[in-house]
Amino acid sequence: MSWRRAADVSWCDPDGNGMSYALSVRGGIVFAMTETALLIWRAAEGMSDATSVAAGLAGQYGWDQAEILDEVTAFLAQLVEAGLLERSGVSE
Amino acid sequence: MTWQSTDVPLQVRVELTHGYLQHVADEVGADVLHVKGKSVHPLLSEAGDPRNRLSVDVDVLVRPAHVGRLVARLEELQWQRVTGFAEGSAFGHAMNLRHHHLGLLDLHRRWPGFGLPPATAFDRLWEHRETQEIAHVSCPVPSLTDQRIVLLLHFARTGSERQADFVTSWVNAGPADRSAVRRRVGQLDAEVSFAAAVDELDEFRDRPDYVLWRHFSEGSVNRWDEWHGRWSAARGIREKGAVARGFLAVNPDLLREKVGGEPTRADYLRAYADRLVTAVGNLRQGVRRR
Repeated sequence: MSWRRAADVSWCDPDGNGMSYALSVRGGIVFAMTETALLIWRAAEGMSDATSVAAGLAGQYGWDQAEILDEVTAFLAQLVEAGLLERSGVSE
Repeated sequence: MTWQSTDVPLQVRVELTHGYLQHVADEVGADVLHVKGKSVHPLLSEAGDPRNRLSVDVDVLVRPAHVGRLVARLEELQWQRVTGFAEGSAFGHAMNLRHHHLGLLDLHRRWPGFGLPPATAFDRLWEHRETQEIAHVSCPVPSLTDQRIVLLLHFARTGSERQADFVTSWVNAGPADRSAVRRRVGQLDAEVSFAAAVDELDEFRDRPDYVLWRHFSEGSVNRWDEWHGRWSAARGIREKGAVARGFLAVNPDLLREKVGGEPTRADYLRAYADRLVTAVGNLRQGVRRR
């Protein structure tokens, strides 16, 4: 089972303020994301758990994986709750 | 790595709601054309960028047969009706819905100015549709020529309020584009409304909807002129009956908005009295002008 961006999401990244915004039909609330939050949302696509997301981000941006794991885990849970991320039906 | 969900700019909410609405339409199998605002073709936007168009709401035109299912789903998703079709305007063309977080949605079942039956007009627009990516969602929009007409008819209906739409859709259009627009206007039976937009209305003095389009294109606020126009434009006894009922009736949706809750009997009585006073005043004005 891997994560994927929910199919009913719209999102935009208007110029200027460094923020991105996303909305799912299921969630019904607009979320503003910092650039880092957007990176996590994107990095989660196709990953199976928070550890692999954190590992991917650590490898790509030189962050300390252990240091970011808790925050990544919590944030992914928020994304799922907001309807912005969902589990695909295919097992890996 | 923080995130927030507050202070979302209006233009962002509008952009996202276009995409949201398209997802909902796809879910229930409703054909929807996104019009105006963020959905306009870059050529028709000021400075060539749809993001420069400031919108306070989202406008969509829905295939009439699909309106019921779309509205039902939106209501499940906590959208609330502000005004219904019948009460919303002289044309009975749109209903307004509001979402406490996302804002306002103008849901059109027809576009004022097309003389064709609404389902036929929608079919004609749908056949030539294109797509515009809004908030990373593919949204169906009318063709460029049809968008010019949609904006021009809106320009005529709103008393020439949005001069920029007239400029981008007509003044800046080249000869080939103008010819295409005129041909298409004929196919959509929109000659009178289009004439109101481009200042050629006097050529249509003998048409039943002439008075109504003159009223709107002049930006008149005289309600008597509007009702006179509506009466003239109504075809057949049923349509004229509906106009007469509308003239006398108080709009419960608007009254609810005005009093901020369920209107009482006294609220209705006051509203009827106000309506009568306004109608008499407008009638006097109208008589004096003639």
